[in-house]
Amino acid sequence: MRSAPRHPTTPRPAARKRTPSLLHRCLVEHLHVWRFLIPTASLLALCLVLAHRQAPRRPTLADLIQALSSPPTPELPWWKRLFTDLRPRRPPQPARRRDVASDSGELRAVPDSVPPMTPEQIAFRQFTLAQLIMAQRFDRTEREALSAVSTVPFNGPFRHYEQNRFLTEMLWLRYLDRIDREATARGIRKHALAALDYPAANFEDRLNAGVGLLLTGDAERAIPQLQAAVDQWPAMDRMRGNAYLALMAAHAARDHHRQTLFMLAGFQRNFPDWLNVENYLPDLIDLEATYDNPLLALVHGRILQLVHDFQGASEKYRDALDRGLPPSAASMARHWLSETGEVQP
Amino acid sequence: MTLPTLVLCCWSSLLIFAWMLRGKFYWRPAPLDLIVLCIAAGALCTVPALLCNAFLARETELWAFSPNRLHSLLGILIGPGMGEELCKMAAGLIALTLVRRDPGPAGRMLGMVVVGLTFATVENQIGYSELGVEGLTRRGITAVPVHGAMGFIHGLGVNRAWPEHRALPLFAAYIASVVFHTAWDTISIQMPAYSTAALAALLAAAAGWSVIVWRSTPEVDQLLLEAGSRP
Repeated sequence: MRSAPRHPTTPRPAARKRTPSLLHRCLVEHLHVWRFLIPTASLLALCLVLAHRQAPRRPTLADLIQALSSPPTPELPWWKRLFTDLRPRRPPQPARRRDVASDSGELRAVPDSVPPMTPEQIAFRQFTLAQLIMAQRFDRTEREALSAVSTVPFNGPFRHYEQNRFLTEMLWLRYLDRIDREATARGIRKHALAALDYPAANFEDRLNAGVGLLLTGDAERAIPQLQAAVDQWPAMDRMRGNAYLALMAAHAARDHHRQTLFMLAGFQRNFPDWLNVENYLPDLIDLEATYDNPLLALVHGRILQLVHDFQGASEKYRDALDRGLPPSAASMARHWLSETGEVQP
Repeated sequence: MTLPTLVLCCWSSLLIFAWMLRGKFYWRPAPLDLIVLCIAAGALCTVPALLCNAFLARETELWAFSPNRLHSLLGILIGPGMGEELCKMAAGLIALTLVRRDPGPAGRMLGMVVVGLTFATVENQIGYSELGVEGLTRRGITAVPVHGAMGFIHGLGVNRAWPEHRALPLFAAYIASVVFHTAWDTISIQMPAYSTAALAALLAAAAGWSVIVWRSTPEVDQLLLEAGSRP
């Protein structure tokens, strides 16, 4: 006989499903996540260790600054060096401007300072300048200078800008030495235009780009760059004079006779180097060959007249008149020709 | 950090996020808890990813802009490729494991893309805010959508992995995103002559693919639908 159960068998309420804990949910329910994360993170760590062992670092920017005998900077521990890359970078601030009187007496705003640069950018530029100076003085070959700059291990957005500036300046050395001028001018144009893509590109970059375009036969695109360089140049120095001369030549090449004549009138005031014709006339002669425009011959003749080479000037004026000038330019050419003592044609 | 810079860093992330929200979440609400978690995780994962890049650039020769092409390729593969993609995937996956309620395929996909977009925004702020208006606008059209597209790759892998708790789709998605990221950076850094056309084609393909993937992502798991329809 079966004894009665001690406790009545009342139906037990259904057991409530327990909510899994956060730890359980993360580690057990989603084990596949950890089966993925642990091997991939280990693989990445292994790659980083191997990279550190097999491909040790090159001199950092701090090393280069020290090598350039700037005030020596202490070597930072590796973790501090890494965290410097995580500081948000400030966007470039526009340069302060000040008003100066222009040729026509109007006030115009010119930059009062260059845009601020980061310490790394300043160091990089110092380094490239040192290479340029050494290449200029033949202390090191161009190849050595390019190689030294290309191995600077710094990854900043300004790097392309500074590299393009450096390459443009390097090519100018070749151009002035008259080494393969056509290819060199194309290189100047390419790198100077690439430097213009950077937001902090300044009047020097515009001058380089403008002259590069002018030398390679694109006077139309050169004019706005050269005009901006002349307008933004902060001092009435020789380099601004170069920009002024190039702009005048670009206008002449594009047959803008009014602008050319206006700029010729202010040539001596705007170009301090105007007496040293041997420095800049070869470039003007190259431009005459490139563009074949009588206005360029007129400019050439006027420059020769300013340095009292009356015979050369009259030849150029005659050449320009024979090839056909616009009426106002022809009238000026005849007037200047009369000043040389020649008989008018 | 100025407001205009912040806007320039995040405008396209916000547009992509708004587009994603607009087309889905009709049958169930958008997983707000997951979105908040993914934004926080996406911002936090930028730190280890950029540290990894900085380590390669400063402590090794495997630097993305190295003149040696092999070093540059390896630097791109390990740093932006493996490092950034792992950090983003890890951030999204951990966020998904922390939420109580399964957000469904569309929610998971949205979470992974939000991680990518937040990563791109913080990366813009930390690494590229000095580029100015033009540079940041250009990054908003190129780099940010590319990070979003890689979020879609991650999301696809997560959606394949989640219902059956498999790890293999996660590996596949990781490898695909590493290859895509490495190809993108290699073209833009090592092949400047072809970069504009090639990157435009790659971006168009990635954007088109992402739109198709997002449109075909259901709000509810197929397995759940099948289980619900059984007698």
